[in-house]
Amino acid sequence: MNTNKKLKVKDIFTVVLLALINVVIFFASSLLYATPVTIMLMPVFFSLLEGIVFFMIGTKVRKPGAMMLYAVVRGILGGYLPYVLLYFLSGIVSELILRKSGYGSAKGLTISYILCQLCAALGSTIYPYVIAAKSMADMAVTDGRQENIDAASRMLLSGGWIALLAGVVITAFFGAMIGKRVVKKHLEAVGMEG
Amino acid sequence: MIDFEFDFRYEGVKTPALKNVQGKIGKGKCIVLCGGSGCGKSTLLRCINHLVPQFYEGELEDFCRIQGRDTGELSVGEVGGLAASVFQDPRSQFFTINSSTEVAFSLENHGVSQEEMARKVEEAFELFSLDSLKDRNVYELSSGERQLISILSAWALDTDILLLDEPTANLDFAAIRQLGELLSKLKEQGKTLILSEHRLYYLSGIADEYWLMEGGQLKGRYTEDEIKAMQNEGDIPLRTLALSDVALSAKPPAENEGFMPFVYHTEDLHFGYRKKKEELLRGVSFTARCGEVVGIIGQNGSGKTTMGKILAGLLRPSAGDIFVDGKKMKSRELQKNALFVMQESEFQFYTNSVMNELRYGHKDTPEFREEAERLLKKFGMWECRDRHPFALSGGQMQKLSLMIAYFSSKRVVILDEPTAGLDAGSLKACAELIREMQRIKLVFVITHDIELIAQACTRCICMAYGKTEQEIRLTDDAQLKMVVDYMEDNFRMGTNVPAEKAADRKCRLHPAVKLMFWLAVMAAVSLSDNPLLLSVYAALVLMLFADGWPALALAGGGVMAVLLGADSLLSHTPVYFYAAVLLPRILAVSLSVYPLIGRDEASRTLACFRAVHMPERLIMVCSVIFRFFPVLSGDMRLMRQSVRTRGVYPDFLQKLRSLPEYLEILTVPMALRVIRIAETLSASAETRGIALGGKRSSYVCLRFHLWDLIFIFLLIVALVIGLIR
Repeated sequence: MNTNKKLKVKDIFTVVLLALINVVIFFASSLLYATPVTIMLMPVFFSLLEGIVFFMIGTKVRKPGAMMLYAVVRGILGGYLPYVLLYFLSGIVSELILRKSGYGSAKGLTISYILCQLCAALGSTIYPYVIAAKSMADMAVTDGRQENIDAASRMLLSGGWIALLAGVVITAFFGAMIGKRVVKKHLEAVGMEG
Repeated sequence: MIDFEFDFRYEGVKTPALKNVQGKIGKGKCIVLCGGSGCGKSTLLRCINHLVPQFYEGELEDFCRIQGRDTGELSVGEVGGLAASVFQDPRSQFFTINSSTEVAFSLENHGVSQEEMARKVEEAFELFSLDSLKDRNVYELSSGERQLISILSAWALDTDILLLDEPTANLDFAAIRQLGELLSKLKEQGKTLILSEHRLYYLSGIADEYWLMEGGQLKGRYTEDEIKAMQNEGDIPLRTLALSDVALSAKPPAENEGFMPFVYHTEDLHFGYRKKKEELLRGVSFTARCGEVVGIIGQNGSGKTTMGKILAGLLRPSAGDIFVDGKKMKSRELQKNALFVMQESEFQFYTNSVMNELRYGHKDTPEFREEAERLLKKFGMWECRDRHPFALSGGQMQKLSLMIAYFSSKRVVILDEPTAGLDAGSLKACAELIREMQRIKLVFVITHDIELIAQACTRCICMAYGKTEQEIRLTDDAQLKMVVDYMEDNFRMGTNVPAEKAADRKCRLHPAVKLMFWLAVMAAVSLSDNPLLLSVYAALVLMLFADGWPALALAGGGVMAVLLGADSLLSHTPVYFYAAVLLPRILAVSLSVYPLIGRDEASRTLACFRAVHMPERLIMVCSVIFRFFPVLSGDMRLMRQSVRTRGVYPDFLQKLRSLPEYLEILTVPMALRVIRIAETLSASAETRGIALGGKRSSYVCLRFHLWDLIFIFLLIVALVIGLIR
């Protein structure tokens, strides 16, 4: 295991380009932004989808810095500051986990992936709803619709976010399982593993 | 000038890739490395440019000296300063989006000053009479034009030696001709050229020696006359050395064996892409029958692939009809009848072995297994039946794609450039496979390859200006010559719609100003403050107008106006949160990114990063993102077309039921392809000095103007107003 090796140009390109696949999936699914309910379901959906690429990166580039780079690219292309920062955080945590478990370890990658998706859900969905609620409340002060808005925000913030995070953990786990299976079936068969 | 001796074995591989290969190449010589796939040609070039062993790891023995310098003591980038490299796939070796900045890329890495770069880039386009390609968006260029740009990029570094690895692998007929002319000019300039090639006819009169390789060994060095004589005697399996030597060997239309004969008829097909003003197809009509192999030829941009996709039901014509046995067919019905085999064969493999790939979508009956075994054995693929499709060579991949088409239950097969980059043996096998298909199907072959036409096609449809210009039935060599003459007379390079040049477009604002807007938007959308967001948004719309994005500004401004106008109407609906708070934020972020990377603004943004001393590694990451994000979006579209044409999931419900498998099919081939692209791209970048240290200048010249200051002031005012409100 190449734990002491630095990322080479080839590794950087591999991580960035693979990360872009998840970004493309993210943008291709942007129709989910169309309704409030589907926005809430986005993190659950992506947790199922993004595991394949995450595991491919973790298996192909078994070096310190690969997961951080993935998190930076994935976060910045999300284009939303809380999302970016939480992705950075997930990158740091993933690096620490993989350092402990070994780069390329399926267990380490599974835990990292679940944490990464949790951070993404917080940054992309839960935080915006919190600020949405606050913005609404601010506006309501001036136009007299405070009651309606309070009711709506209470509904969204009362326990929905716990259900959402639980959903993310479960689907991220399945996403990781799919990723693990695909890596074994394809990457190792081609001889592309790191 | 070059003096070497190599023994090399790739890491984890038992068989050596090169066995005692030695040679000396003098100044101004043109050496062509030829031989079948896997003979060691590319490995030899990689040893010379030092990608072996620094990039492709393994056990390398012996030495290489270029102009007296031992390459073992140099980095890949430093060797690139002595011998520039050109790779086979221009699509994956480009770093920037603008043709001029691409030519300047290696100069930037080698620390050349801005003035010198500007002079050199100008000289490159002028010297080779390629002014029309200057300052163009590389997405608008054909493969051939891109390959010319990569050669200019290698030339600009002013090395005496150029190493070209199968430069015609992805080129069409006209591009190959122009490449030949360019190589002649380089030779006249006294450059030493070393090429690895399968296509040889265009090198007549340019090559001094042909080095024949086999099994990692150098079998001999021959002059053009010697190698021609050997080929005429059938001693060596090489592709043709002269187009005039190609002879017809295709069989006449077959009598169908056990299949109902059918007639495919197109009537007045029209098609235009949304972004283009003019129609690409302007009334295509023809008739074809089961048992025929119809070659579709036409110069670059004549609409061959588009027509192939329409025939397969992947695109819907804007007017005109397709009839099968007199019955008018809708696109969905055509999808059930026709299979489109893409040029990029990797997109069409979904499983983890050759055998599984053939089995995919079939009942695994004893008859099927017997037929699969017969075919695999006949085409030398039986030994690799358990191998992953992505572990196959290019030729083997093509053969597998054709076998999938053979086993498909569809009666019509459309092959898009099935022999790109193939050696003589693989080309012959592909032609034979097409003839096998001919017995039971109607086959359309979109191609520029005259050798394939000679070996497989029964008729050629010549397309020009969006119409079928001529049909040539191939029954003897005279008609084949008519096809060659047609191609030579009509196929020209540079026919892509002349695009607006970057230089013609006045970019009004400095990228730093646009970056400030982006940062302000990022901060505003992250806060709960709607007035701040609205004031920054208003400034952003003005900035888009001033920067030359009026349509975007109007659309963005209009949507926001509608949202604000509908505020009270939406306030009691469940979408209120979304419409009043989230949608404006999504809009603002999207609008702020566009002027930074839209069109070919990415080059200017990267130059700005360098001007503010961003670390080179980060700039590298950004440039990969800017360059490949649109490419990957396009690849995703191809993936979806591939799934549709193979008929894997006929409807949405089936996709949903097999969601994990569907995800795997959509993601895995693309991910494996991306890993390959990353390898090619980084190899190209390493040889062009991306990893070299030292101070760099940017080719793009950036200056602040009064408008920049005005917009910085406007942004500050917007922020202040937003915060006060």
